[in-house]
Amino acid sequence: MFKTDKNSDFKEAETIIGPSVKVEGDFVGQGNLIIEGVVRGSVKTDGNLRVGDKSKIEASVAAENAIISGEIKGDVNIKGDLELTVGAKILGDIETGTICIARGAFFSGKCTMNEGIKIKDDKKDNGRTINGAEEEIEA
Amino acid sequence: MHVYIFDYFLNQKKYEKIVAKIETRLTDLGLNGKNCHVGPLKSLTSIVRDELKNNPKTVVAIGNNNTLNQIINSLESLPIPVGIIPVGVNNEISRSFGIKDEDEACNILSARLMETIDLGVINGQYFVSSAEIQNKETIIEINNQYTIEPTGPGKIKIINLDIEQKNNKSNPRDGLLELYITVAQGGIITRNINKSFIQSNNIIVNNLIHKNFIIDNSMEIKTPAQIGTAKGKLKIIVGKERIF
Repeated sequence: MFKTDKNSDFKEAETIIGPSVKVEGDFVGQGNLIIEGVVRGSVKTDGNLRVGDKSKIEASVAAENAIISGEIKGDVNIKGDLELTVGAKILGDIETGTICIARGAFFSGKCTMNEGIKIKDDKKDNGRTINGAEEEIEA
Repeated sequence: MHVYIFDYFLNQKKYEKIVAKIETRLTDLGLNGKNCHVGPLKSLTSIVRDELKNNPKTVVAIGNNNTLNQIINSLESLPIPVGIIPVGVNNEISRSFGIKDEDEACNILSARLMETIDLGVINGQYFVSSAEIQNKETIIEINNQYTIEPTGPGKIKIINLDIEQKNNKSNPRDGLLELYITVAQGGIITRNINKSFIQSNNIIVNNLIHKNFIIDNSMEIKTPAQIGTAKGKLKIIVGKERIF
């Protein structure tokens, strides 16, 4: 889910905020976005988002899928997959479809899973499917 | 009728033979027209504006990037096709149109292959390729939504037509400009260039120490500068080897 096929999307990044720039305000993008610098305000894109390990974001963040390696102070809203890698730090609430948190990542806030989660057990007949359920994890 | 505008620097003796050769070649190809030589008493802009009254079929810039820039800014928004015959140095724009030298340019004018491209607009002044300014004390505002401030020395380049062909996202027909911010960090040995890249058609750049923009490697524009695009503004005669 979070392997190289997702990473390949970032080769076609529409916007790159490099490590030596500061962005302030409401950043709205329409494609894949890579943030390596400092952003204050809000970040919204209908593409994929990658936040680099040296980046610092003080903003609410919304994207289709995201890989976070840096620091975010604010709420994170991801429609699809969210990956927090080693060194990622999120101080805020997360709303996402699926999530993957690596050992060493830091997350303090509320996590809401929006999409249905299917749990199947083929060995026994107690296989169950939960569609449209909301699962909350208090961290 | 074609109008040929020979830039002022072509009055130098070293260009005498080239100018004569171009005039002969144009006659041989049946591309006769009015030859106008910019001189000390008549500027390029006033010549173009006088000739526009005769509804020319084509206006041809004979010179360099600066000649082309002055001509497109003198056309008063009229959709008249523009041709280029490059002479001398500073001709990167004509090369990106697939025109390498004056001989090839005459043949390309004869073939009359035409493309419509966008122009960049900075404070009401058109540019074909790019506008550049230093990073120092510069703040960029994008789409009236957010600001970008580079944190180190470097360069801001706003590209309409990427004559250096370093960026495969650049397309002079998409109505967008590409904004590149490069920042140099570290010492001489450990020097690292950080890059940022954004596409937009509404950019405001303010330089607090009043440095100027340089457009098309030829002309200076004062800041603060409002920069956008003029979609499909230029009809240009191009060669087959053009980069877009």
